[in-house]
Amino acid sequence: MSIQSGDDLQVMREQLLLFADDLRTMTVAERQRAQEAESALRELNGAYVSMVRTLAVVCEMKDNYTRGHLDRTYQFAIALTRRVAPELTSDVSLGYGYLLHDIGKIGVPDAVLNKPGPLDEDERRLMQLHPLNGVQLVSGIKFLGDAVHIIRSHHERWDGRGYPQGLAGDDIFLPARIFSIVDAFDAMTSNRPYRAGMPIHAALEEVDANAGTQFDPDVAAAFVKMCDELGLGDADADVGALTIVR
Amino acid sequence: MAARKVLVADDDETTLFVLGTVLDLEDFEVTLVADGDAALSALLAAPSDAAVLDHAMPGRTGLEVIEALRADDRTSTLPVVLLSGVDRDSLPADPLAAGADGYVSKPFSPLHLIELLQQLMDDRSRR
Repeated sequence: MSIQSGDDLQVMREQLLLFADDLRTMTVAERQRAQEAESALRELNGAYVSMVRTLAVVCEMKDNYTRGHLDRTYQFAIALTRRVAPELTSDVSLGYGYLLHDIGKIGVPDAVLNKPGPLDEDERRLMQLHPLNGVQLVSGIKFLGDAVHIIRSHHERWDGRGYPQGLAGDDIFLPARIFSIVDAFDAMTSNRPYRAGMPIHAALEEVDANAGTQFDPDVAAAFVKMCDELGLGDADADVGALTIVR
Repeated sequence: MAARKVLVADDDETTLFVLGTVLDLEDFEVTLVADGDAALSALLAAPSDAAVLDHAMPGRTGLEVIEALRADDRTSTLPVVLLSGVDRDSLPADPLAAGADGYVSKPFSPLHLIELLQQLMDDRSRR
């Protein structure tokens, strides 16, 4: 390149300053675009959550005995996930799965769902279809992501004797293992028309006793520890107290 | 939408770098050449959506390239902006009368130049 005159250098200097100024303008615009995209995404996620909640509540309304179950299990499952798998807490689809876990019950006849007493074998078979019914129901909804694995596997057991697939151990999706404990605990402590709910400390002993058979032992231990830390284990607190997890 | 193709011809490295960078950041497909003859053969060889030509270049000047482009059916309506370091009055001919669609003097804001190109390309596609 030839030696440049003072005038040329002056023009080059001004040109580079204009360039820098334009780059700044572009960066500011880009940042604003990113912010707008982020807020649109937040709004969309909010819409997803309301949609999922509505679906879940519709399902809950059909099932007379589970009022409050949805909220409690959701709160417990999120809190437990934060403890045993903090890396998963950013995955919003797990929350969808916790809320929609029983969506498949919409296909179970009311007479079976609300039967005041133990189910006979045919009824149990119908009831046990609900995880796969649920999977089928939501299979077309892409944004639910991994939620489908919770819907499918929340009745699997650590020892492989659960349903619908009879998966065992680590083959069961971790959030489904988390949820199965929370779900069972809530069922034990809730009042049913044909029996009173168990005291919390007794339910926690039950969770502990079934660690390694029905439940993932690590997750069960974390659950019992969490409840102890929340002061749920020592009192005869009724289920209303469980909302303190919020 | 496919990226719009823009050719920039200038023997000044700073101009090529500045305009090439901003066009690239704004998602244009950019071809950079350093003289008038290369600009003309590139524009005739492959279809472009617009061109920015410096006036004072080795080989053909910007105005001479425009004259040749206008004489060819393939490029007779190609949006072309003439760039120059001298006053518009000091050029051998008025750039707009000589076939340029726009004229920009150096130093220039690359974003303003791109806005002008965008407008010229939109006008052309509406015709």
